[in-house]
Amino acid sequence: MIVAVELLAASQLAVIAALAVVLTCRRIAIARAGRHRRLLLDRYRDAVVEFVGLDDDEPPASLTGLRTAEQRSAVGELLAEYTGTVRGESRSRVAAFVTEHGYAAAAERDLRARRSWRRGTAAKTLGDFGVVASVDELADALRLDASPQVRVSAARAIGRVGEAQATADLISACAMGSVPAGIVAQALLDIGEEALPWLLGAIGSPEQRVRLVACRVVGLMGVGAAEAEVVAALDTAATTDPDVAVRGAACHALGRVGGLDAALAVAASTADHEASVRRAACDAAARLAAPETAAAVTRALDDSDPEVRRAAARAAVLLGVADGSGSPFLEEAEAELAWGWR
Amino acid sequence: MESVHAKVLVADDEPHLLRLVKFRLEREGYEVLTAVDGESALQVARDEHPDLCVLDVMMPKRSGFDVLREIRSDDACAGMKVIMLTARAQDRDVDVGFSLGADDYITKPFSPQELRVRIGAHLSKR
Amino acid sequence: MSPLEQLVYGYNHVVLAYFALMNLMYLVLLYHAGRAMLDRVQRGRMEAIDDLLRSPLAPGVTVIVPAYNEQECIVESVRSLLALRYPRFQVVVVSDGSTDETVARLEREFALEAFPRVYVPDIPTAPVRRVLRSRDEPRLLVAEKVNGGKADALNCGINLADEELVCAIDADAILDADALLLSCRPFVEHPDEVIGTGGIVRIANGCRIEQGRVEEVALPRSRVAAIQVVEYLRAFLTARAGWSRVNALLIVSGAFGVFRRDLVRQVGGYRVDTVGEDGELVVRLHRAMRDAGRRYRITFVPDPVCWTEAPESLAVLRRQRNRWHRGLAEILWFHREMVGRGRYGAVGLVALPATIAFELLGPVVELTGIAAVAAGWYLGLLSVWFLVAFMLVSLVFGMFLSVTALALEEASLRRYPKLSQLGGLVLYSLLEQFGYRQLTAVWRLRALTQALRSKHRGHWGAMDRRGLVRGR
Repeated sequence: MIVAVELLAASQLAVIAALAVVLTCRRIAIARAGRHRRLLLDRYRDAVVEFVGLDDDEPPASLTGLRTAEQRSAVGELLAEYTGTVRGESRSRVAAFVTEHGYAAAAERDLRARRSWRRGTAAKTLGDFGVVASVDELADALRLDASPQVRVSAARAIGRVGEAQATADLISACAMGSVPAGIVAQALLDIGEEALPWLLGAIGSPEQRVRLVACRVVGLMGVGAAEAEVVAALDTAATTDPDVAVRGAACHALGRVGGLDAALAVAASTADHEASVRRAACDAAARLAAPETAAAVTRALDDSDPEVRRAAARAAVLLGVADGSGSPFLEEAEAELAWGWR
Repeated sequence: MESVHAKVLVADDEPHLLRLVKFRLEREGYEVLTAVDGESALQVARDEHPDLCVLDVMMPKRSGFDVLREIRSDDACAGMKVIMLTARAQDRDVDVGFSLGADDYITKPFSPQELRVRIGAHLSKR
Repeated sequence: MSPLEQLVYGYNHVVLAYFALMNLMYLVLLYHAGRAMLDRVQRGRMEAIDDLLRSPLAPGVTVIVPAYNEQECIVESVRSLLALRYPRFQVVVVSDGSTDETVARLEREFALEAFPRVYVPDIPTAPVRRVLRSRDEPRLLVAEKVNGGKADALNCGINLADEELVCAIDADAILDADALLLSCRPFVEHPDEVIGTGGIVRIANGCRIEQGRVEEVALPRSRVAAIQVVEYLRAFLTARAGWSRVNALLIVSGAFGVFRRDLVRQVGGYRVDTVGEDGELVVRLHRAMRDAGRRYRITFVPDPVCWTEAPESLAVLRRQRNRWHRGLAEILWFHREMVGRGRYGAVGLVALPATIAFELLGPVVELTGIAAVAAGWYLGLLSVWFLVAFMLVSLVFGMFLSVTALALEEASLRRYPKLSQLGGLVLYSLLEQFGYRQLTAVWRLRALTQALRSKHRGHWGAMDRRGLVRGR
């Protein structure tokens, strides 16, 4: 045993020494490489800012005809960084530029690189560029890549590009659990209304995760002309879903979508046997003025759960159906409204 | 152009965005001041009296709402236009922004063209 | 050999085996910690944290600031909290029977007014005298309550919380602007699994701090504090990162932790009868979730989120370590039924037994070990090789852990900008092995005996605060 311990300790001593040397060298190397890269980035920064920020279609001369890999990677990085903060005309102009000058193609090639961080970075870059034609490649990465981090990066990038063609892939990635639910939700939200047809189906998915994501996302985005279908699907989820969280999310979503049918569904949910659903229903009812919600909220003022009573009081005050009984929760809600922080 | 020589303060802790906005507005002929946190934004607003401020909400030291409130309660800053430029796009935040006296509310990611048009509109209204 | 000599000889070998075993366990943790940091580095390249800022999916957070006589720093703390980068949060300050100007200064600064908030004591607490709300700042709520201790104040904040998540912090903690973003991200990504997160706590001594923000990172000038920098690096980067990867993270620092509010309420909030309320809550959450057979995760976020002032005087340090070790003893006592039980998974089978063996009893073995080796040497029982092995295994191993933790820091976060600071830290990790380590072992041993003899009531450990603004 003694010998073994001594060997262990000696090897650790060696590791300490090795680490000290490696860390020092690495530090110096990083500092040098970093300086070099910074200079390179600074050289092209103004041109990229000018291109992204102005309305001219012509890119500055210094950005075209770059040959070396180093220069191109610096310009690609800058374009991705600055495009990430803008939308509208500036963004589409950059998308056209990176397509024409091969930056998008280079990133697509990198999606098949050997190292996972290169693939993930490439996905992020494509998302920042916002080139619609890259979405198919990103969907492949989302479905097939072995690295969870790359799949996450691809899912986010699909959302950032904002085209609906990979929506089905996103939802099935969520169902299989190959990408965390929250990442998929954000991507769907970024895609927006165009994802709605798929989301309607997802509200009835056998997977609880998918149903939850679908309800939350539908509630947070505009639904346009599809209102009746959306409300019908959410109504079913709010009243019949076996999962508490899904029922609650469906109530919240109904409150945001609005309309008379939504009000009816929410009013029914204020009698759910789970307090958290009743509370969500009261929150939603606050946005849905109708005789049914008013009656339901008034009933909920006497709920057995204090959290539900508080939510009911807020809703009653906002709907203007508070009976002036002076119950403490109503008083609190009235003060909140009077202070203007609602 | 009547907006020429108008002074604009842009406060944001994101260097990329700051650079982009500054460049865009300078090309329009504005004099652009910048700040990277709430504290210095307030300082510049008080010392330099810009005609218009573009404020981010989430900034180090003091939030943009905080700065807005100080500007509105400071007589020396009367008439200053304030546009909030922020990633916080929820209804509640927009409400708070307007209730504190913001003149406009633009969400990130933003369109440089839109920002330019809105700034122009607010300054010509003076 | 006489029986006594046999005993000494035998015990020496037990101690050696103990250190060797501890060594191996930390190597396994180190492996997991290394993997966790590697993931973080790769992830940092692929995604921008800012995405979450604009997301309506970000869950709301209630930041709870328990305050007892914090007039020096409270206004600045609250102001910098309100400037955190996060889309949806409120700040609840709970004044725990403060006798100074804590509430008065907040009242003046933020235009507080009485607000008719209905106090629902889901978790029983000392009575709340009044609830105040700011006219200027919709996100600020202040409660004044009868003194009941830190845990009681936290529970009051949890009762008042409106948002989905609660974040408990110390009034004098300095948060990074992205602290909430980073520690809430796991909740966004795995909404149905993650129930708690904690991040890296760092030492603020020596750093340049302006208006509640760390502006420049540097090493403390005090040696006692500098050694603690090494200690913290080791504890957070190796131990917590490693345990978290096997979902057996037992302690989320009291200085900063984020939890699901509904679950904290369900399990009854913080316990008021222990000095280790932060760790105790985490163990109880593990226990409740495993008892209910639910899938869950308590995650360590490998990013610095919070800076705290370390004691620079030995007397204050002694009180702190005494409190920590008594807290640990109490937690393990409360949850002794979990130890070795298969239904508690990695927590019951590995993390708790390892904590008892290597943390709780560490000082006992360490100090008796030194005594036994001295005795063995005096009696002429031990070979030179044994002594060499003993020295190596205790000293080299301690350094090894510190230096590898430094390497993890260097590989991923690189918060210490100068090479000389890095060198300084290596030096301090050597220095720690002589004196400091034995001294803390003595303090911890005393704490252990105190805990065994009596159950002390939880109270606020007094620590000299100089306020957040350190003139320099």
